[in-house]
Amino acid sequence: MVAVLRTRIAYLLVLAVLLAACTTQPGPAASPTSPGATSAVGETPKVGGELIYIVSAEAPTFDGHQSTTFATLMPISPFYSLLYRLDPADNVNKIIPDVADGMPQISTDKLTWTVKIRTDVTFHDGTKLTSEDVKATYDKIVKPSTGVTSPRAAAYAAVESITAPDATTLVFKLKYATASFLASLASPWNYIYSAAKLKADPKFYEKNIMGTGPFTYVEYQRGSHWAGKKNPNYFIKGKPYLDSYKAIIISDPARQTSAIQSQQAMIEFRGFTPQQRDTLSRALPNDLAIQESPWVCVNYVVFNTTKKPFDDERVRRALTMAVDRWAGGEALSRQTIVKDVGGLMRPKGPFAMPDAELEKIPGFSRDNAKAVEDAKKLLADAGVSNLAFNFHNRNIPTPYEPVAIFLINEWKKIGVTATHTVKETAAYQADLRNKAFDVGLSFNCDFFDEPDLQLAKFVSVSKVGAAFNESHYNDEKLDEMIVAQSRETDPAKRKTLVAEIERYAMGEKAWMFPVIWWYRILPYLSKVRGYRIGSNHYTTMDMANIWIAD
Amino acid sequence: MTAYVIGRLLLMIPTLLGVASLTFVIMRVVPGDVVALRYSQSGSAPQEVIDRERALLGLDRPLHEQYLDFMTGMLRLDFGRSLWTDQPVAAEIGSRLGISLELAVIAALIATALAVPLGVIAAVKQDTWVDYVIRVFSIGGLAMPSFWLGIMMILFLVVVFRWAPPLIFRPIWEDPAANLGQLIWPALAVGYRYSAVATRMTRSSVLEVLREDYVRTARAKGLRETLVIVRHALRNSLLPVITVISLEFAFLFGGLVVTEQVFNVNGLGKLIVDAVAHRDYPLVQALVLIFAFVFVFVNFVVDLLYGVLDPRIRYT
Amino acid sequence: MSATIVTHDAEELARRRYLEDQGWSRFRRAVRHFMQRRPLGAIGAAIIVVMIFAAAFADIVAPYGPDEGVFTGLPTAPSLEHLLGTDPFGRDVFSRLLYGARTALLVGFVSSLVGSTLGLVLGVMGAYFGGKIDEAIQRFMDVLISFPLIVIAIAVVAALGPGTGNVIVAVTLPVIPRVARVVRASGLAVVQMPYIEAARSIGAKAPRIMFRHMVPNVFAPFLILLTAFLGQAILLEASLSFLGLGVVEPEPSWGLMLRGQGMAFLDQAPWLAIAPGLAISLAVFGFNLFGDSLRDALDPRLRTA
Repeated sequence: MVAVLRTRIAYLLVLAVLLAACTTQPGPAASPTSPGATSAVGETPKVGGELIYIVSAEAPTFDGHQSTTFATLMPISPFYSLLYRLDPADNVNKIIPDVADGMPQISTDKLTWTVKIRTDVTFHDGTKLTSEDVKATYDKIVKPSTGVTSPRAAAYAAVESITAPDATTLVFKLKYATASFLASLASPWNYIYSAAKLKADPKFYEKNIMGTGPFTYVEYQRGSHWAGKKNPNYFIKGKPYLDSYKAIIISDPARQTSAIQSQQAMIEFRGFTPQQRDTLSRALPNDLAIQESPWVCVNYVVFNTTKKPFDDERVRRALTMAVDRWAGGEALSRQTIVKDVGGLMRPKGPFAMPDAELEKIPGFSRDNAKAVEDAKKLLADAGVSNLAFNFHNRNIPTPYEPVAIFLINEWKKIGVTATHTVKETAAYQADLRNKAFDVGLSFNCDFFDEPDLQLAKFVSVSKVGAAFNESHYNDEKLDEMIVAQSRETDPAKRKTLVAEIERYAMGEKAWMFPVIWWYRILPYLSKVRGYRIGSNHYTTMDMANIWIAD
Repeated sequence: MTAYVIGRLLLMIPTLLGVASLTFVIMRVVPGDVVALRYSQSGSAPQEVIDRERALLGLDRPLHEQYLDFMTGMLRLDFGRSLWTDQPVAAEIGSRLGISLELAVIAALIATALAVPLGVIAAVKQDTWVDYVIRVFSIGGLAMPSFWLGIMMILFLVVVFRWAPPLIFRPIWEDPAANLGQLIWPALAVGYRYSAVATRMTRSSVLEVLREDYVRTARAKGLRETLVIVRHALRNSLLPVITVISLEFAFLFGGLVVTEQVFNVNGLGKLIVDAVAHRDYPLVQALVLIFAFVFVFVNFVVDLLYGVLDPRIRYT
Repeated sequence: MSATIVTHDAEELARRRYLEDQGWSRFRRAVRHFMQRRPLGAIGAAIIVVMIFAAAFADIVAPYGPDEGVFTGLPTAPSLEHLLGTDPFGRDVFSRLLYGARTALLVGFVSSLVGSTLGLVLGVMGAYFGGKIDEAIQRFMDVLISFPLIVIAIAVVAALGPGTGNVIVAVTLPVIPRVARVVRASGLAVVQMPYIEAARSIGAKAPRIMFRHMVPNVFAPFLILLTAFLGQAILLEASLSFLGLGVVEPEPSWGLMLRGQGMAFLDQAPWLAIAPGLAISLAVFGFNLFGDSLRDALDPRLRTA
């Protein structure tokens, strides 16, 4: 008590002279591993209570099919169901049915997928869900009518037709077998909508909420918060556990931390920096749980390959070789949200290359001193000396700023001078698209460990456009390799093909290269139970499994 | 007088038209595209999706057509729909306008309550340590970055009282405690800075009046000093103080950006930062016009006030 | 050059020395007077001098280069080696603070000087010419002054790109109309003076009248506004950098130091935030104290809040 009081007086004094709040506690913060982070086996979920969580941006649209941001998924997913979903107890790659009745039946040629639909699902307006609704939903995603946008339609290019032979059956016919189709059906964006509503107005769901999810709509105050309450007719009996939830929009990171610290909010699902974690674990030693995990997100260094000398693969390879990812990952992980070294697939994920293999790829060697010498030779071979360029970045501190400072320092080792040019997101994107840059720091984030998703950026610019392929190159060979792995339905063979692509695209050609993979840190009030961090911040956001302990 | 008022009101029109046009030009010159942003939040969207959506929003039309549309819409007070959320701009602004106005008014009240007594005391005790302390205090308000002050305030509340201002806005007539509990802190942070300007103005204005003959006369009559100051000096020095407080109000209203960000107040300042970042042209245009209108209008009212309060000023 | 000095005109030399002496001692007397009458202003001046010194001699005074350091990921506490500790990139905070003074002063001086001068020119022109020209200038200034700062700042930074130069543009723009207004008001009073009329009647050209006769007469308000905006410009630079619209890493800037590492390590390494926060406040405080006293000294009646 005295210590606490003394600390408080210290705070008062320090603030009185207009200085920062200077904590007197010495030593590094303890990094406790999730006490009761998820509902342990045998623990009975408690019913009731309100979950209050933070969402760091406002949703541009209510329509999950059109959205590309977590800002839609986090507050709005509780109103909806999916056809298939990630198992909340795993949240990495175990796919389970949601409104589907069991896993799909797949024909031997792998071209016909038959899905049974549950018969006990009702919409919030009382109408019964049938296969027509699911068909209308997927028609909207796969072949949107004019005036409706579906940014992920390309992921369903294999779909030939969707039919509903009867009220409880849905059939997907594919043009060719594809390994990623089940994951595509479990996409967290694919909210199940009502066929009747869509028929009346194809844009209904942009501004209205009407789903089959565990919560029903209460209110939405623009820029402030979303509220929902328990759906008593939810098709999974006994769920949701919560009475209600509030999703509060807070964009300022300092205010987010203080909201958790003052226990005004319980959790922010996207994650915090190591410093925010340490601040919270000091302030709330007994009330905080922490989960951490490698994230399906990574920064890429992209090149304007239409410009000299970045059209020369030796120059690009020299730039990736200079980077000591192993030491950098360790140092950067202390101050920002990156940690593990990996290739094009998430480290520790199902497609990750073993470290021993990875280390053979240029840029991933443990012997950085030698790599630096080799890189210098490469630059000399390419006839490039005193290379100087602008390094194009966006004005978001976490993790772009520290990652960029790190890279600029690494490149100094091979005599390369990179000038950091930072723009706010819209201008930054426009410059990347319009080739108004030399070298840039980009990123990619997905909801699933799936080569089709993570390799989408690497397809030739003539096919996918500059919004995906920010290095602006065309490489027929690589395109063929990417198609081959996508059509390969044998998991082990597919993994070999993906590793081949990694060696070629980021090692040999170095069209673009990953820096250090992101690492998600989730400190939250330990009374929140039933959330498992998994591999991403998009899936299992329907809150059906979350409960609040006493 | 009527002619003057009408003349002044008419003068506001070219200013506002200029502001509107300048906003239009600036926003189109700045690179970036709302559609690309909207569909590339996490990952990317194919170019044809972006092109189609741009066409739907009319962003591919010639600039002069877009400009004409905007200008004629403005004359009908119709600002269109937000490109980001597709909501009417009026609806986006509606709920937030009240919050920012209330915050600005509370800040103005705090500033006045601080500035008038402090300014008078500083003037009366000119060049003594009291004067110095007050001046240092008020200049401190000008010197401290307001975002910094705001962050320190929240940190202080959280660490010492384990409490932070409410996150959700409640109208004052519904829940006065929650309303003030949320807005009083940002109002203090900006009010302090705001008071610095007003304190200095009060001080110099009172100093000036204290040198006037009628104050000397009042003193010579043997009136008590407090009476002299309150009845003669203060009253006659109020005009410039009111001016500066009103003008600062206009600045303040457009300058709540960082404070709203730090305190998570759902006002116009936060909205304009997002709108500019999203390249949401209609919303930015409407917001800039609102800020400009408040500014121009307050200036106009101040000029009129001069006429009412100071009989020496005649409008011709 | 030397030839004129060799022609020892003893009397002339003595006279010149006397005058110089007088000038110097007059200046010293004025300074002493200012310090006695306005101790706050003197404190402000002292802060400014220290800051200018730090900026000018950063290369010599700073123990380390601004981006020199061993990258470990964690900041280190203040020590004899690093007076204010290091940031997570191993960079010496004290050295970055000194180099940051350069950025702050550069932005402060250039933008307030350029902005005030442009404002002076426009204000004087408006007052002198009157009529349509005045009207046009005034309307333009109205547009500029009623434009929210944040939009100007974001527009400039987004359109021109980031970096110190463009921050200066963003900070300069809002200064212009504010100075122009005050200068015009003072100028209007000057225009009616008989000597302006006299100059006109002997056929003096407009630029000559404006710059020989009017500018010196509105110089006092100009100088006062200049010092006031110096402090505000430094504050604005810090705010813009804090919002991510200003100076860019790894360039040393106080606002940037506060924003990224400072805020992130507030709990673990408060010195990262205390040092730049204090530097900003002190600098702005110094300029304001000085400006305030200068105003009192030059023109106690002037109302330029």
